[in-house]
Amino acid sequence: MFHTHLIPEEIEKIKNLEGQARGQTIKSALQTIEIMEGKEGLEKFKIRLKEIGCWLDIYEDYNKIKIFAWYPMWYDILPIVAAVDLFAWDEEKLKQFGAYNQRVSFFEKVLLKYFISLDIVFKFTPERWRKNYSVGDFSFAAFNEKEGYGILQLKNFTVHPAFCHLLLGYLISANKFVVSFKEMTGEETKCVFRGDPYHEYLIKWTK
Amino acid sequence: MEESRHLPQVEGTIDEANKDLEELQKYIGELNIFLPLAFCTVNPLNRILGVSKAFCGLTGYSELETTGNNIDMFFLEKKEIKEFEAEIINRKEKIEREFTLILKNQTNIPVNVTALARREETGEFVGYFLTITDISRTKQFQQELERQVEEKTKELREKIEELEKFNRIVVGRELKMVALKEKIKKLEEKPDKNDQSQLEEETG
Repeated sequence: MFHTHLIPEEIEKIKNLEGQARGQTIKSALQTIEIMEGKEGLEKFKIRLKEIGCWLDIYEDYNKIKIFAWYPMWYDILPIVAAVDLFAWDEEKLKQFGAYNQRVSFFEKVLLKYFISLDIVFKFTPERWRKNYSVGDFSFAAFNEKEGYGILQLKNFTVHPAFCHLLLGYLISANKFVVSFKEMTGEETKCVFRGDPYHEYLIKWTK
Repeated sequence: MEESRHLPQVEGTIDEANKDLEELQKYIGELNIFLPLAFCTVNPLNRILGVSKAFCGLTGYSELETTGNNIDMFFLEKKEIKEFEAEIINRKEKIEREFTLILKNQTNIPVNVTALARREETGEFVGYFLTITDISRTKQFQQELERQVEEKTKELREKIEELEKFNRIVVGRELKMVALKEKIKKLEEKPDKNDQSQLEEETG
């Protein structure tokens, strides 16, 4: 069971995060909250943000968020952590949240050239990442089509443990776009919140 | 020093470019909502990357239910759609074909499918656009027309048959009349008692 409590110290920590996030990431997050929790859930979530003093006008209508504009990192991370706290999402829910985030993203829909084969999806993950976040260095560590696995590493990105599960769901969803394999799974094999120097994601598939 | 002098200028250019992209995205978004055309973007492995509002409206599936799925799942003719997909890759112009679309409620409707390959500047195939047009009304209209044509043809055939029958009777009668007239003529020329009574019998 994954759970987080959004205490004032935690909020402060998130508000001090370095870097910027594209408006698309914020829009995707709010849109996905609505998909998973319904319109009522989204309204409850907005009230929650106001209660904890983290309200921003851009959260009012996600369709009006400028997806190409850069916003402070916390504009994106805080709603995610607040949603985990409010809806008591577990790891699986967070993975689903990440997968839906990937599927609703305008960037992922129009960038067809990144979704032509599995090795291309892996190879261009760093490039796709940079379109969403100004910080964090993604790298393509391994890819073995025969053995059915690929490894991605994310360095210099320490935002919140909830994000690790979200990202895993996002990566699996993106890879599923280019395969027709029976099963695709993934795990975070290294994590900065477990004392590792970086995040590492192992994605596996079976034919 | 030189670099820092140009930095605000570069940032300004990036901001402008972002604003332009924002406008472009808004334009695409509005078109997507407005256009009554069901369309989707598909990658080279025939997986759906994005769908229009009209696509969801036509199929009954939500955006999330369709995104990431193979386009084949929507069509009844599995073999033909595979052939169609293979053809898209090799064609530069759009191609069209008729298929049967399977809706979420398991209803099947006839559709016209149009596809256009998308390529990189290098010519590399990166996927395709696919539009689906509901032609069930056109098909119904066509079937109704065919039914009416068939009905009228049947009616016409019956009339012709009637006419032919009538014609056969009339012609038969006419021939008989001619034969009788000839016989009368002959009898008139050589009047005979027996022939006269035979003639009377025949003419009633």
